[in-house]
Amino acid sequence: MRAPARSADEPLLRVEDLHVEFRTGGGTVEALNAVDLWIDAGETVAVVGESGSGKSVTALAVLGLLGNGRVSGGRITWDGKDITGASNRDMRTVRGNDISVIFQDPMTSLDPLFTIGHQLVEAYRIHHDVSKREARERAVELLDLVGIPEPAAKFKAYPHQLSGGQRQRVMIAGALACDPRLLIADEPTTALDVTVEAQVLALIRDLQERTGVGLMLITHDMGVVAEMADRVVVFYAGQVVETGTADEILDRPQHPYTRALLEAIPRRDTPRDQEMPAIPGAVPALDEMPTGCRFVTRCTEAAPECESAQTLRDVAGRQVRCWRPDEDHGVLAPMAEVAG
Amino acid sequence: MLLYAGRRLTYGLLVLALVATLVFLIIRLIPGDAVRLQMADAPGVTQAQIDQRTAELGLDEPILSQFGHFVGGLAQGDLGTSFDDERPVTTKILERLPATLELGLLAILFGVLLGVPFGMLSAIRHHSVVDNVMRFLAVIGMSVPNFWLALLLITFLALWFGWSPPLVYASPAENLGQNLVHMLLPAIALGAATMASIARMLRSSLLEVLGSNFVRTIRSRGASERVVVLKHAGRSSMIPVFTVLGLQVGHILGGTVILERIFAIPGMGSLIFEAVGQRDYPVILGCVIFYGAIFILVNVVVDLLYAVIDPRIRYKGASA
Amino acid sequence: MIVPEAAPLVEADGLVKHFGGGKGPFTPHRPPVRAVDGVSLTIRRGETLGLVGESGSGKSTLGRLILRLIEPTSGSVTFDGQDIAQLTKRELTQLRKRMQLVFQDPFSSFNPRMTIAQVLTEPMVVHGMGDRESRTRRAKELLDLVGLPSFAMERYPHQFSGGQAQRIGIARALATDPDLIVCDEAVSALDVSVQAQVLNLLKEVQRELGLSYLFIAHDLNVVRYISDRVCVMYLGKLAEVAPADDISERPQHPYSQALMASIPSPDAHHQLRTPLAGEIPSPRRPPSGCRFHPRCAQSVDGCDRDEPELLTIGHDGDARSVACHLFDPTPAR
Repeated sequence: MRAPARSADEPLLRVEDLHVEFRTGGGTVEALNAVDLWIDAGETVAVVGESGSGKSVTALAVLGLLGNGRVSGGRITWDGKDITGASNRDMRTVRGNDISVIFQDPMTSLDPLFTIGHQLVEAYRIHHDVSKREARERAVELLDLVGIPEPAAKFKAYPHQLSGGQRQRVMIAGALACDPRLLIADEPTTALDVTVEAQVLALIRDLQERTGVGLMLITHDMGVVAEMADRVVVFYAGQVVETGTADEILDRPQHPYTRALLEAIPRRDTPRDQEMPAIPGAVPALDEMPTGCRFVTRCTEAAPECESAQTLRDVAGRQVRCWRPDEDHGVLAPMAEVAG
Repeated sequence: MLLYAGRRLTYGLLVLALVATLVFLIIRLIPGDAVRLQMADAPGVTQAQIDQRTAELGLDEPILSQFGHFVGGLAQGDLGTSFDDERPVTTKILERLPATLELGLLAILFGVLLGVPFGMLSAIRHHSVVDNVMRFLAVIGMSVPNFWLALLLITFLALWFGWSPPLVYASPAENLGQNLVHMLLPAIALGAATMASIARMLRSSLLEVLGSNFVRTIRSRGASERVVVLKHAGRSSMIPVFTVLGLQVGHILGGTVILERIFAIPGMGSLIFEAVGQRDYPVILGCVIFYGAIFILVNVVVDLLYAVIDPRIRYKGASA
Repeated sequence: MIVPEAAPLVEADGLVKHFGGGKGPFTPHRPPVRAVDGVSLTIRRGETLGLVGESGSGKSTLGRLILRLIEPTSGSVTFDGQDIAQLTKRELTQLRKRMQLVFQDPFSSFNPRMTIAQVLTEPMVVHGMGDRESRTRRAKELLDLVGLPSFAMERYPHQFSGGQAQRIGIARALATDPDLIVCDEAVSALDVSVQAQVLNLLKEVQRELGLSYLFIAHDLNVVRYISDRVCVMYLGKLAEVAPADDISERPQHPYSQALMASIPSPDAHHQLRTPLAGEIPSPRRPPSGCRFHPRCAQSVDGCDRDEPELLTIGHDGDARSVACHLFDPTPAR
């Protein structure tokens, strides 16, 4: 029942049927349920969803940084190699070197007690056996690359002496220090002002063009998706509910959740005298998930068949996890085929 | 940075002056009077002799003028002379200071050398058996009074191994081996609480830092756990540990009074113990000022260490 | 909805708030943080006044000044005809009933050990409203008003989702039947789907109760949707005040224009926004002349010297004020 691979070659990163559990005081909860996605070299895949939908957990699972969580099923393949449950020692050669990450909050993501130069030198020397002087040159070069003015002088600055936007630039510099092939950006601009957000996204786009790094962009903001993404993966409650190209998802969303999410965004021409089309209710708690479609409690189009679980299936050349995807926009796959 | 140090030091001196004044007043409120304690046992002491001795010691003057003399002397570095043997207080204290400093340093050494690894181990293996045992020991270490622990150690060592600490004190210069053997038990008894506090504080601060965003960043770059824990998380979690250490110095200094007594160590602790018994006001006051000065100095150093560790503190005073 | 003839509910005049500044023998001299630096505005009865700006623009401080949660360095606030700086403690307490605050993070503003019933009745107890029975009845009404079931009364804050908690925050603000609610980033932390619910709720409550909002947020589209008029704030000063649709369709101040151009839109595929250069400077050392001039693409000779005044054209609901040397106050049409 798995969807066929889209790319002729093996993708850079492939996540198949991934399940992740976390230990809590009262037992375990499942944070990811059968997540499938892939990222090709050099492309930008936006991972979209609301808080708690599992976007960040997916990123941490790929990096092997789940903390008190664990992969309880499925497979993660990096560049053709299975890295599911790889040892910390093995993952350390991947982290920062092949796959890098920048996190949401630049204010707390740098060590406050070391200069930014020191932290960049450290990032480079983890994977490169070079002298401190060479690493230092690389660090200054990186600061220059991410648009920090007077990079040689700023090398000696401490994080608290920089603005939020500059700190996020330093985070990007650190992530790119070892020329990774995939950059995971987890809500990289959520903590920044819109004006600075535009600058940081432009920088990421520019660096991507220069280095060819693949980008997994985790965001809740459909505006950012429209701006950056080649393809989009929509998460809801620990599952992927829809994937497709950015144009497909933004213009012709098929899953009722994607549609509702797009409608709920206030735009500059949203009529002020009308109600916002909100999605009723809230995401169910992890321990209260419906057994069938997880969106069923909030879906305006829910029908009896929605009480049973649906897999991510091909609908009109895209993948949708829905019994009744929007028939106006896509061709509904025959039910018999799906069931088989 | 200099400005910061100057500010800390000034606050410290103000606190010391306040402490000296309070102690000056409080010891005169303790029931019992120096002269009667000195002479009461001697048969046939007349009131005239008592009055004469009181006048000699300057205790007949109004309290304010006594205080004036004290402050005047202090300004010249003179702490007065002992009521007991008429020797200068400063000389008496300086004779006794080394033993106390040695004991205190050994106690701190014991506390730090064991507390730091225990705390780290506890944090890295948190919720493991090791962690639970250490947390239990830490609670005991913090709640057991040091003199009781000392007596317990003496008793059990005597019962089980038939060993008891030496009765006669030897200075390190005379006999280093005997001196260290003598100091061992009181240092352990005194340092147990320090060890426990450090382990507890380090555990919780390290746990917090290990869960912080910047540690996640460093891990995401492929750094080894050694670099993550010892270099980055360790450094960040030292600040609260230094705070605890600064406060523990107070407990240790206080503890020397009773432990030096128990183990017959001729230090400042036993000196103040004797002086209180005899209402030897100048010696009490001198000892308190020395104790206070040590405590304040240590805490000024701790404050400066914050600035050395944390650039945010360092630059707060300097950037204009 | 707006009654132009009536006296405004709130009139702020020349509000200034400076924080800190050098003092003390060991503190090196530092200029104060000019969080709010001369702001005058009015909030009319039944209207929503939006307040947008980047972080560091002083918008939250302005909200707190209007509620008199902090004392202004200078300037005055008049609430329903009363100068709130002149009020006695008792009068101020009376006034507090009539103005409430809704925070960004509802959880941190609730006592986690209180049930929702206690959270909702507490403001009524503080202001000596009603007896136990009537307060409980009112708490149930409030829950109903914000769309929560009455069994929520016996629950604790942590048992609710972010959106539900913000509904409770709104219900608590409504408990004393206020005339003004300051919403300080009240929907900013919510997910889009829930944010739309809360925006609808705020509008519905306003329609039913006729109260005024000062709606502070950094998301211009959200502010535009909920507000009647919008103030754009930059470094402690108002750059522009205009009717909500005007600010999005015809922003006049270069900063308002830049803000509008910075909003990411789901409809503009693969188009990068044109980023506004630089970042907001420190309010400790605001630039000379027009505070926006170092980042302004349109700045001309003199912008770095002379501070532009906030000039107003039009009247009442259509009034628009702009603080820019390029703004021509003579009516073009």
